[in-house]
Amino acid sequence: MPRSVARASPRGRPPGSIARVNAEPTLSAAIPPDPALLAAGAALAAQRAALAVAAGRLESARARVPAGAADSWRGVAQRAYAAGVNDLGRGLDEAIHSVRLAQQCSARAVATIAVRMG
Amino acid sequence: MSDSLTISGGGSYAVASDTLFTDAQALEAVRDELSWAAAALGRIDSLAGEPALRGAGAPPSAIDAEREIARARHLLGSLDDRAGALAFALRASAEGYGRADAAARRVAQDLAASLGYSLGALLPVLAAVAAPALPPLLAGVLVGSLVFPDGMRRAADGLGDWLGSNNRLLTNPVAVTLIRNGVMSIDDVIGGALGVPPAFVRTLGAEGLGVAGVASSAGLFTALGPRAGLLAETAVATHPRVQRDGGPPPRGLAERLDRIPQRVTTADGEPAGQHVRIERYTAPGRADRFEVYITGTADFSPRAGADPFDLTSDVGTMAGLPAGAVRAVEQAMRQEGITAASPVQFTGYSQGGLIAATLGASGDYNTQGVVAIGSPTGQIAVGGDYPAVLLEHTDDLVPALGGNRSGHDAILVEREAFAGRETPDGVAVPAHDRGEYRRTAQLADEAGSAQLTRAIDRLDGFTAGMTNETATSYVAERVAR
Repeated sequence: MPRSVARASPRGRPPGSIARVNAEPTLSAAIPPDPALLAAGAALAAQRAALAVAAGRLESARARVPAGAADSWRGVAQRAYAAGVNDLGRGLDEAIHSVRLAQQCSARAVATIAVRMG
Repeated sequence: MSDSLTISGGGSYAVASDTLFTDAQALEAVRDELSWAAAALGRIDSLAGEPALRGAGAPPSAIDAEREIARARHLLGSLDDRAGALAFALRASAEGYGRADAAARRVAQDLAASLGYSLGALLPVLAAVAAPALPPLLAGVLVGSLVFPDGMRRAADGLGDWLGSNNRLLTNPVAVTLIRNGVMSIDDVIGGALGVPPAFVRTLGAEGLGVAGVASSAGLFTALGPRAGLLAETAVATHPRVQRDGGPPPRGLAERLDRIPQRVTTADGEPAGQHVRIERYTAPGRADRFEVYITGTADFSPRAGADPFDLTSDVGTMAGLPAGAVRAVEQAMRQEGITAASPVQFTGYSQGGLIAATLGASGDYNTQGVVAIGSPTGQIAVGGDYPAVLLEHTDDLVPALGGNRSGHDAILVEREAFAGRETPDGVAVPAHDRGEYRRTAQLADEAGSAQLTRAIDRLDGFTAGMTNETATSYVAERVAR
């Protein structure tokens, strides 16, 4: 079973950034096509496309999260609301980051499999 | 300038700012998107599961992708709930505020009714105490009016000037609320003065069966006024004055306000302008549709003059009677060929809005929409089957003269016109200014609350696909019986 020798960490990039998609270096060169790997590559390609759509929808949802600074009310309830909205925004940022990372990793995996398949 | 709008009605008790309703809608949309994304990630996860990828010898990045997908799904699950909870909290607070506000209004109305009844009961006593002073006082007024024939008018002008210089007294929400409650209590004052048992007055009044109230009080003034030469109704005649080819149909509330005609007195004392404007819309194979625009009060004298859009019509319309201005609009509609079956929308400013709501709710017309701007429509149940939008300033006393709101179907858009800014000097009721209402109409057109945008869309949709053939303006006058 071929294994990569180096692996870039998916973490450490700012949210929303997309790394260049490079195939992972492998120990072995091209090997005969493995039907299971071929199927995995196709599934990962579909996954990458679906993740791009999901990330786009989540980013548009993020833009719709209110600022939390309602003008007509103040006090404890307003502060609780503002904190809730901020938490929602932060959580959504994290979710978008994860989806974008998953998209990048899927693309990288697809590229690696393509290299392996020759 | 306060540009914050408060929105209520539309069949709901909820009362909140446009911002709050817009936030709730945005959070509901975010919740829906998060639900969709969570389901989508579930489907994506099933495309390439971690065990299958490991079994196929997929590279480590594929496994990383699976883990990030799992993490995103976990996050979205909790975020979905959080967005829904925030939206629900906003809606619940608007509903709670609305119900508390309605309860507070009821308590204030009850209190005002009790005070009104007590005041009415004391009136005979006060009259008896003041009786010795009345003859010399009346003699003084009589002599004064003989020496200065113009004295009464000057006194009225003087009062107007004084109010113009001290308009903050009336241009604030507290004074307007007091006036509204005072109007609702007139029947109680009368009941107290006549010595009717308080329980009976309460049962008949707005706090009980609603048989007595603003309309019956106005009716009493209309019945008694003519004995003193005041509020006396006459016949009216309405004439078409200007007819133009129609332009584009109105879009939004501000454009509708711009089309309401104005009847004014020029510097040389001559009346100018029109009272009613009717736009006719046509389309092949469809019945003609009509937009009716109605002006406000042009003559504030309690003694009926030539202009039927006067105080006499104000009081008569509030009494539910066929006042001169109402008959003038009906005559204009008949001349335009509008029948009970013709689809029609009514738009009016001040008294014009009162007439618009009265005709719209009368059941005599095929009403498809009502817009009343700065009008005393509180006791008219308008809207329901058709869109109805009411614009009111919380510091404008004119809408308060209609009493408390009795229905929840119309969408009420409120703004405090002079919150945090100075009132202009020399204007008795600046918050009733048409320019101020235009600003409110613009803000309403730009608002994001779904119930308001839906109502405006329905109003605009009335003339969709039709051509504005003509716009005819009418002038009305009172004529001797």
